Amino acid sequence: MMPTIKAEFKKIFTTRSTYLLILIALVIIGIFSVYGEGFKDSANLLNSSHNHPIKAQLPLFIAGTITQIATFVGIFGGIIALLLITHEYRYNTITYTLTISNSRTKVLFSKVAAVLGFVFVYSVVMTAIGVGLIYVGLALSHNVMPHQDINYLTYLAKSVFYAEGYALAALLLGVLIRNQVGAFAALFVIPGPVEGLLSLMLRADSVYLPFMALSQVVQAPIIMNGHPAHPNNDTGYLSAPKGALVFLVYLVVGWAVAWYLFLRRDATKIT
Amino acid sequence: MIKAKNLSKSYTSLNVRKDFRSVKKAVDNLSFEVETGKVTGFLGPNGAGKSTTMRLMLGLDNGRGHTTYDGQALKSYKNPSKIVGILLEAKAFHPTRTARNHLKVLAAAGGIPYKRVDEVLELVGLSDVAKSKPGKFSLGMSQRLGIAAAILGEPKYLILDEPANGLDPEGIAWLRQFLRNYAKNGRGVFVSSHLLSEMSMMADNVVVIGKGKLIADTSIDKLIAGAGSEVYVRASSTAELEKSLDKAGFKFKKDGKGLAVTGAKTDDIGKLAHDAKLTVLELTARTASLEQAFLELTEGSEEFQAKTEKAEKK
Repeated sequence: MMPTIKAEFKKIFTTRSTYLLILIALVIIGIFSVYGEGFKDSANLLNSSHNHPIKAQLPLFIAGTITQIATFVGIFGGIIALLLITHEYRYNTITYTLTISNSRTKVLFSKVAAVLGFVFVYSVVMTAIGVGLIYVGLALSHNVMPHQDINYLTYLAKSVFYAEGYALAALLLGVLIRNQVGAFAALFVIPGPVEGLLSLMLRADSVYLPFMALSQVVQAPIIMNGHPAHPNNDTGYLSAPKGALVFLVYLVVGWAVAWYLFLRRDATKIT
Repeated sequence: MIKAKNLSKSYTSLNVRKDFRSVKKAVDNLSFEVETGKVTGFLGPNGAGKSTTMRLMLGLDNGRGHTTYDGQALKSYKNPSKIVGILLEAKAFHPTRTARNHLKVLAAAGGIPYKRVDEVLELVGLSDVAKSKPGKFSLGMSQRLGIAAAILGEPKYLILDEPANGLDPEGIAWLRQFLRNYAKNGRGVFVSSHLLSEMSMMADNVVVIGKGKLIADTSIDKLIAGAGSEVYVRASSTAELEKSLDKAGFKFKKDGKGLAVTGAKTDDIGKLAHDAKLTVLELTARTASLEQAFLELTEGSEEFQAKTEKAEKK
C-alpha cells in the first residue's frame, strides 16, 4: 500500500493548483490575521468602553481568531482533497491509477491517507502562521492584549480536526459525484444554502446537520458573567466532542457508500 | 498468454419516448486469446466495442466474464504494472503536471525506480519536453507520452487502443518496429487501430469484432486469404478461356477485357491456357488487402454508417 500512498502524495505535490490554493489561503489568512484581527479588531476591542460586554472577550481573543482561521484552512484543504479525486476522472488518469494497483480499496484508502497526511501538516502550519500573523498585526498596531486564556494544543487539535473533517467530506463528495463541477457545487452548496435552509425548519436541531456539527468543533468561545459560556443562538449548540461525533457518524456512513460505489462503478472519464 | 473469456457488457439507458428502458449490449460473450511473442491486432468498426473490451480486460469496467494473464487474474498479481501496460487514451494526463512528473506518479504507484522514467522518455523521443506541461502537447506527442507510460514497468503485455492515432509517418514506423521487437522478446502486444494497412504490417494475428460479437480470431495471412484472392487473366480468346475454366470447375467473372478467377493460382491458370492453346496476354495474382478482408467481414455490423450515394438513391 505504501507505493500507492506515495503516488497519491506525488499527485498532490505535482499539480499547480495545490500551490495556487495554498498561496490563496496564505494571502487570505494573512490579511485576516494581520489586518482584520491583529490590527483592526484588537483595536476595536481594546478601545471599547470599560463596561462594554465585549471587553470580557479579550482573554479569548487569540482562541476566537484561531477558530476563524480554521474555517479558511478547512475550505482550501477541502478543495485540494476534492481535486485529488475529480482530476482523476476529468483527465482520465483513473485508468492508470486503477490498473497499476491490484485493489480499488487500496487506491481509495491511499487517497484518504494522503489527504489526512497532507491536511494535517498543512493545517498545523497554516494555523501556526495565522497565529504568528495576529501577533504581527498586534505589534504593528501597538496594541497589547491582556493575558490570553488559551490552551494552544487544544485549539490546534480542534483546527486540525476541522480541516481534516472538511477535507474528508470534500474527498467523499468527489468520490460520490466524480464530476469536478458537480462536486465543487456540492461542497459549497451543502454547507451553505442547503444546511441554511434546513436550519429554518430544524431550528435548534440543525446542529445535527453534518457541516453544522463540524462547525461546533471550532465554535468561537465566549465569556458571559466572567465564565466561559455556550453560544445560545437559534441553531442550537453541541459541545466540541459531541459535534465531532455527530460529524464522524455522517462521515462513516458516507464513506461506506462511497467505498461500495468506488468498487462497483466503471472507471470512466467524467467531464 | 492473455485469455479473455465470455466478456460481456451491457448499458441500460432510460428512454421515456421509446420503451422506457433499453439495454444495449456493448460486448457480447466475447472470447479470444492474445499470444506471447506476437502482435495481436484488434479490429472492428466504430462502436463495435473495442475500447469497452479492453476496459473489461483490465477490470476498469464492471461486466461479465473474466480475463487471465498467464492463468491468473490481473488483480491477483502483487504488481500489475509488471504484467500489463496500457494506453487507452492519448490525453490521459493532468495538463499542468509535467511529462516527467506524470510518469513519476505512475512509477511511484508501481514501485518502479525513477531512473526508468528518463529511460522511457528517451525511448519515445520526449526527453526534450520532459519538463514541459503536456496540456499543450500535440496528439502525436501525447501518444508518445502514453506509450512511455505503458512501457514504464516493462510489462509482459501491452494493451494499446489506437496508439498510432496522430503519429507522423516516422512515428508510425517507429511504433511498428517497436511493437514488433517488443513482441519478439517473448511478450504479448494487443493493439487496436483503424489504420488497416499499418495493422497488416504490424500484427501477426487479428481479432475482429462487430457489434460486440466476435467475427474472426485468426492470423492476418489466413484472414486475407479467406477474403477471396483472385487471378486476373486476359487471353487471345475470352470465350475459349471461359469454356476451359468452366470445364476445370473454376469460378470466375468478367472483368474488363479479361476474367477474374477466384480460388486459383497463377500457375493453374497459365497451365490451363497453355493446354487450351491460348495465348496469355495478361496474368496477375490479385491478393486481397486487409482492408478488403475487414470490410467483407464486418459488412452489416457497423454501428454507425455514413450515407453513400447508392443508399441515398434507394
